[in-house]
Parts: sequence; structure tokens; C-alpha cells
Amino acid sequence: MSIPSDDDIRDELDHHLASREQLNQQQGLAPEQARRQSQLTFGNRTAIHEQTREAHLNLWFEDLRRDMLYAIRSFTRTPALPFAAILVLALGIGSATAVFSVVDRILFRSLPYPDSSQLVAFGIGAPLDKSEFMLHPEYVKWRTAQQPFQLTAATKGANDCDLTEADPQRLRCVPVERTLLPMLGIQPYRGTNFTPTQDTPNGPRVAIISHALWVTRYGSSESIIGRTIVIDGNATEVIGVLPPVFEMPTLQKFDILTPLQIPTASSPNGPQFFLRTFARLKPNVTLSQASQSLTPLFKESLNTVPPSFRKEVSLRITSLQDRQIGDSRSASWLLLAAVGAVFLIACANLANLLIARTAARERELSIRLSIGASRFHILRQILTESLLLSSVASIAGIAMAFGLLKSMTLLAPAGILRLEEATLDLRVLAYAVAISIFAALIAGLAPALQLPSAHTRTTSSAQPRLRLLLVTTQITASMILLTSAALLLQSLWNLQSTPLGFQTENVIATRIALGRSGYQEPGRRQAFFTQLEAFASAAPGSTAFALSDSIPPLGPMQAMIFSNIEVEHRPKPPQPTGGMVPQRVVSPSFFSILGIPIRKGRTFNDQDRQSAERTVVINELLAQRLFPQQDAIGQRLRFGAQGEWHNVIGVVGSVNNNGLAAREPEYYFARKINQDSGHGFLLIRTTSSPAVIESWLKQQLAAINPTLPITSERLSTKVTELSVRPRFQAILLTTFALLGLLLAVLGLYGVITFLVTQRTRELGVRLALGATASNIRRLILKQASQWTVAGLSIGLIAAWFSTSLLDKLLYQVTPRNPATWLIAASTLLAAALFAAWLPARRAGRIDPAIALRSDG
Amino acid sequence: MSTSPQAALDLVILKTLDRGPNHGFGITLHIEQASGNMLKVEEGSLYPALHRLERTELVTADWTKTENGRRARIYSLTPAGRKRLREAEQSWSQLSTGVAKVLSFS
Repeated sequence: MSIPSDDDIRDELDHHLASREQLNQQQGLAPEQARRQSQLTFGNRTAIHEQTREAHLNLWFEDLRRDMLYAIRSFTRTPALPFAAILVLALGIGSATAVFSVVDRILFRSLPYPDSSQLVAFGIGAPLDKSEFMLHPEYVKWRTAQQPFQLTAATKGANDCDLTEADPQRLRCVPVERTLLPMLGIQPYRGTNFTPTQDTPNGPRVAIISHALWVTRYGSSESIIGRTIVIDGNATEVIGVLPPVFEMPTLQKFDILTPLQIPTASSPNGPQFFLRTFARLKPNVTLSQASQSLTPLFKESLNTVPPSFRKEVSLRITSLQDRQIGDSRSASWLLLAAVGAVFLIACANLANLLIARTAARERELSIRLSIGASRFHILRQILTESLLLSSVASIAGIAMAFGLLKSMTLLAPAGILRLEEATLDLRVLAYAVAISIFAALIAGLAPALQLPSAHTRTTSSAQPRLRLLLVTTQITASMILLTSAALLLQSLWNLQSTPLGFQTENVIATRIALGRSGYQEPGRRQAFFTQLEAFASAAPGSTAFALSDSIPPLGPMQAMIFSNIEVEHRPKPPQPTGGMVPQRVVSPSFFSILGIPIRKGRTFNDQDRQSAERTVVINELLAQRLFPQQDAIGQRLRFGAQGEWHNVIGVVGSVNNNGLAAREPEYYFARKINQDSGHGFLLIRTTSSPAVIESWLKQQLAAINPTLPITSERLSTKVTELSVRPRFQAILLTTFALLGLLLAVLGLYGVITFLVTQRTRELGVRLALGATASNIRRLILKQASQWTVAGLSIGLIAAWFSTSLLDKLLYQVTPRNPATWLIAASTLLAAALFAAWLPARRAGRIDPAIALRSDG
Repeated sequence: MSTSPQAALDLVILKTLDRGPNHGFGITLHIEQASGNMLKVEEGSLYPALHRLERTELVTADWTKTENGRRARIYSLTPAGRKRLREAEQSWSQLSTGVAKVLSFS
């Protein structure tokens, strides 16, 4: 039915006026008067035209208003169901949007560089480091000979540097090649990039500073370009400022970029710089083409590697995005999948609720049909209700998404990739709202379309089946979620209950880094640590202290390739590298403070620290590997072919390193009085709090170096930090899994309750004919368990395939671990049967006398 | 059905169309004749009422050409309209019988 246009209305009114005028003339009026008379009897034509047009519009609004009012009235009459529907949908929209907003940043957004898909990280993969790297002589060769790249750029790691002007400040400086900014496609915000003359060895000292430093320290002053600042005691000219959103391809934090200044011609015995190398691919060159094209260069570089290592060295080239995502990839996909499952459950649940509602109103609607309401009117009414529901739910969902995102940002451990940048993604939100409205429409319409015609008032049997199908879907999705959550929880449990190999109680660790300014000569560093040791024993509440260059479970500062550790009088076997063996430099009481047991021999003493004779303590794992049959004590080891021989004086217990997950061979050198490197940890066993120790240390240090930044922390805090990330993942997934389970179980409860109500009369007959209450209960439970088991089985199969996603996130749990699966399945089964048992019990209590009289 | 003037006009229109399809002017003439000018309404006010009835699917409308080449909109009753008319007639007659009884009760 179309709404008549203005022309239509004009024509219709014209017809009336002309007909009346004609009639007036026939009744003897003069033409002029006949016209006037017709207009008079007709009334105000403009107003009538308006009213006629509005008849359509008004009715449209009128209908909408009436439908709305009707919907609101019927919702408020039985608020439980619409409330449940809104809650379910809001949860779905909220969680899906919040999670997607977070992972979208990680997985799908392009990096903040133009044509970022061309950017790659390349280099050598070796056991030395988990990311690819290059040593500078090789890089210099590759840089000129390479074919696949438009431009390459290298950077060194960030190092502490001090701004030694008035109001000194500790900063992060990163040496970068001058091609870095052009390669990334980034223009300096102010000033210029490094010039070739600046980026050569012994070039002038220049710096490009970060936007943040420019704003906070130099008040966004335009005169910063050309100004001289003092970095580590050296006058340095600022030549540029970076744009506000700039980030390093390594994602490391930094304040200042300096020119890398690598020598182009390498001297054979000079130091080799460890570089991270990046490049921009030429247009239309793929990663595998680039890899092929670099292979000859790689083979040439391989000749510089000792033959025994060659097998473990590989050429690596990955897209920059993949390098940055790294470990986050599996976790992000997992979250996305989990929230997708919750959203699916929510939509199925909503559909179920709405179908239940329509089914419950079947009679009301049939009556309305039979008294002349058109099918269209009823459909419109149902659509209005569905839309009203989903709009309210959408608003609630948006609020929930905001809240969830906020709490995720608050709960999340630091260092989760790009989380702090995550904002509510409007596209995602719109998408989730659209899907849920669509689901609401389908759910509202499907049952309405199969409404019986006005004359047949039978209850249709198709809807319960559809509803049970939806319940099965929910149970399937819940099963997958529960299995995943159970696996992560198990993994977290394993992680937490693994013995560390050392004790953290009452140990406070303070990191000390002297920086470069003022501590260039070893003598000054030595003096500092001698002074530190002199007063450290007097720390409040202190019973012992130790100094070391690194502490477990953080990775050590240095490591040695296993096959480079030589045993005296033993030929070096031609073997693969055997992985890296970490090295720590510690003072004598290190082992006793951390409670690391001494298995054999002794720990260091003051003589070891001063004498020229070299001693080493190795851990059990290294002892087992080097001396499986012999006593390690008294053996002599050499670390690297040029190294000196060290006496093994002790064997100590092994500790957990690196993310709590692994124990590895390890060896310890004595912290020699005259060999301090300028950084280290002061470990104090004390009953005082970190704050007390920190302020006490600051007081003590005020005389020596008042600007030295220090922070003291409990060692136990540091240990806990390492499990924060797995805990965050486990908590998030468990929340989603429980949410999904709750929704699915509510769905099952709803359907079974509905079935019982619908079958009241039949059940009454059964009871009247002698069935016992327990017969009836069994009947209902049987039906419920059929569908639950169906969902469970499909869920198990689906989980079998999907849990391989978890593989990388698990610690000492295999994804297909029967115990965990059994727990997940029985939890689900128990919850489902409980949900079905409640209405089943009610069914058993039906009074046949009442049931038979009911008109159900 | 209510007994407001608007409802009365609707009822009269439906009743007129019950005799057969007609255009607005034709309906006007019939009401004039049948009611003996009892319903003194502006002739134009018929049209919003007709369109309302069309919107609520009690009547449908079709265009025809008249002999002098004008377009005329012809209205006819739908089944729903006919049903509505029967219900309304019944309640009207009940009401008027009731009124008559009250008036004659003395």
C-alpha cells in the first residue's frame, strides 16, 4: 500500500471541486458563483490537503506509538523475561565489543607507518637471542649487496643515558642508523633527520628527541632545534623532534635517538655491534622472494660462524607486524574466539527467550488475528517489541563495553601490547549492535510467521524443537569455553605451584645502575660499590646482604654457548651448540640470602674475590651435563677458547629463570672487588618494608651520588609479576566461560520449564493413570539430558580441534589432557542437569486434578 | 467502536460504500441525500477521514478516469471494513434501542 503523493491528493480534491461546481451550474448558478459556492462548501482547501496527507503520517506514528506502548505495557507486566533478554544481549554486546577493541589493535590494525605492510624485520636466527639480529660487519656487507629492499636500517638496544644539565634526568637513548626514519616513512616533527656525515664513526654528537621529552622538558619550545644539551657529560646538538605518535619498530621505550655511527670497514678483532635490522620491501616483493634473494648473502655470512653452530643458525625475515605481535598472537586469537562463543551463546539465548515469549502469547495473538487484526499488524507489533528490546539492550551493552574495557585496562599487567591505546571501537560496536538487532528480529519473526491461522488454535510443536536446537548450540559453545578455561587454570596452577628453587621471603632487591656520567673509569665504579658494601650491612632490620649482576627469575645479563665451555684435559667434542648457559656474577652471600642450597663444595669467600686465581660455582644441571660420571669439584673449566681456566669450587641447586617456566644449566662467578660493571642488584634480607629500605638507601647514597635513581622492591613481588600475564589470561577466559555456562544453563532451564508448562495436562493424565512423581521427573530429565549430551558431544569434538590454539599458552599441560576435559564436561553436565532438575521436580508435583481442569 | 463524531463519520462512509464503490464526491452526495442534510460538515473533511480508513485497511482506493478526462479516486470496502461495519451497526442499534427505551420509559 503506497502513501498517496501531493499530486494524488490535489487531483482527488480537484475532482470533488470540479464535480460540485458542475452540479452548481446545473442547478442554475452563474459560472463564477458556482465556483465560489463549491469552494465555500468545501472548506479550507489547504488545511484539508494537509489533514489528508497527515492521515497517513499520523497513523504511522500513531501505530508506532501504540505498538510501543503496548510493548512497554506487556514488558512491564512480565518483566522477568524482557529483563533477562536485555541482560543477555547487553552482556554479549558489551564483552564482544570490549574484547574486540583490544585485540583489533594487536591483530588487525596496520602499524603507524605509511605502507606498513612493506616493513620487515630480518637477520640471523640463533640460540643467542629469540629475535633475529645481525652483527655489524655482516650487516654492512648485506646493506650494500641486498636486492629485495628499498632501504634497510639498523638500531642498537636502548641504554640508560643521563641528561647532565641542571636538574639531571635519567633517560633512554637509542642509537639508530640515519635510514631508520626514511625507511619507516616518518618525517621529523621539527628539524631534520641525521645526515650521512653525522652518522659516521666519530661524527658530531647530535640527537633527535622524542615528542614527549620536547613537551615535558623543553615546554614545546621552537628554539630547541640547534640547542646544545648535555648527555652523559657530552655537549650534544638537538637537530630534530619526532612526531607525537612515533614508535620504534622494536616497540622499546626511548627519549633520545642518536646516530648509530657503525664503522663501514670492520677490523677483524674490533668489537662487533649487536644490531636489530629492519627494512622496507620493494613494491610487489614478497617475503619468500626476499628470503630467496638474501640466501646467497646469508650463506656467505655463515662462513664466519664456527662450523659446529651452523646447523642452529638460520636466515629469518618476518613482517614487522608479526615480529611485534609475537607472543600476543595466540592469546589474542584465544580471547577473540572466546568472546565470539559468548556472543553466539548470547544471541542463541536471546532468540530462545523471544521465541518463548511469542509461544507463550500464541493464544493472545491468535485471538487478535481472529477478531480482525491483520497478520501484518501482528508482525509489526512483534517487530516493534524485538526492536525495543534490542535497542535498550544495545544501550546497556555500550555502557557495559565501556566498563569492561576500563576494568580490563586496569586489571591487565603492564606490557600487554597496545592495551593502553585501546579505545572503544565504534565500527565493532555498530557491528555487534547490528547483529544483535538482526538476531532479535529473526527470533521475533520466526515464530510469528508460523503462527496458526485464525481458525486453528493448536499449539505448534516445531518451536520446542527449534528452541532445543538453540540450547544445544549454547551447550556446544560452553563446552569449548569451559575446556579452554580449565586448561588455562590448570596451567596457571602448575605455574604457581612450581618450586622456584630459591626463597623470596623478606628479601628486598634494589636495582642500581650507575649510568655513564661520572663513572667512566672502573676506579670510580669500584669505589662506589665498596662504599655501598660498607654500609649495606647496616640497613634497618637487615640480617644479610649480597650484590649480584642479575637475580632470578629474571634472565641473567650474560650467557655462554654450551659447547664453548671447555673442560680441562677433555677434547672439545664436535657437537651442536647445546643452547645458552646463563652466567651470573655474585657476591659470597648470594646463595644463602636466596636460600639456594650448596650441594657440594663451598661458596665464594673473600679470598676468591681478591685473589688472581679464578673460581666458578656451577649449578646441578650444568654439573650433570658436564660431569655425569665424575665429581665436579676440583675440575677446571674454560669459558671460550681465549678464556682463563676456572676452578670449580661448588655445585649449587638450580633455580627457575625466565618466566618461571624453566630451569637451566647455569654458572656463577665471584663478584670481584675490582671488576664492577656499574650495574647490579643489592639484595638485602630484612624485616623492613621496601619503602623503608629505599629511603634509607637514598639517605646513605646522598653523600656519594644524590641523583642516582633507585627503586626497591620485594623479590616476591618481582616473582609474582611474572605470572601476572598467564593469570590475566586465565581470569579473562574463565569469566567468559562462566558467563557462557550461566547463559547456556539459563537457556536450558527456560526451555525445560516451558516444556513442562506446555505438557501440564499430559503430565496430569500420566499422574492420574498411576505414574509416580519420580517417573515424571525421569521423563523430563531424560529429555533434557538428551539435548545436553548432544551439545556436549559436539562441543567435545569442536574443542578437540580448537584447543590446539592454546598450545603456546599452556605450561606443563597438554591441550588434550583427559583430566581437564573430564572436569569441564562434568561441570557442564552437572550444571545442565541441575537446571533441568528444578522444572522436573515441579513437574513431579503437578496435581492431576488441577492439571486436567487447566486448559493448557 | 466509539461514538465520537469522527467514528460516526467513519460509520456513515463505510455504510455508503457498502452499497458499492464510489468516489469522494459521490459519497458526499449520498450522505447529503440520505441524512437529509443532517450531517452538516464541511465537504472537504470527508477526505482525511477517507484516507484514514484507507490507512487502516477498512477501505481500498483505485484511480479511474472520468468521462471529462479527470482522475477520480474510487473507494471500496475491504472484508475488514465490512466486518467493522457489521460490528458498528450492531453496537449502534443496541445503543439506539437502549436510548429509545430510556426515552420512552416514563
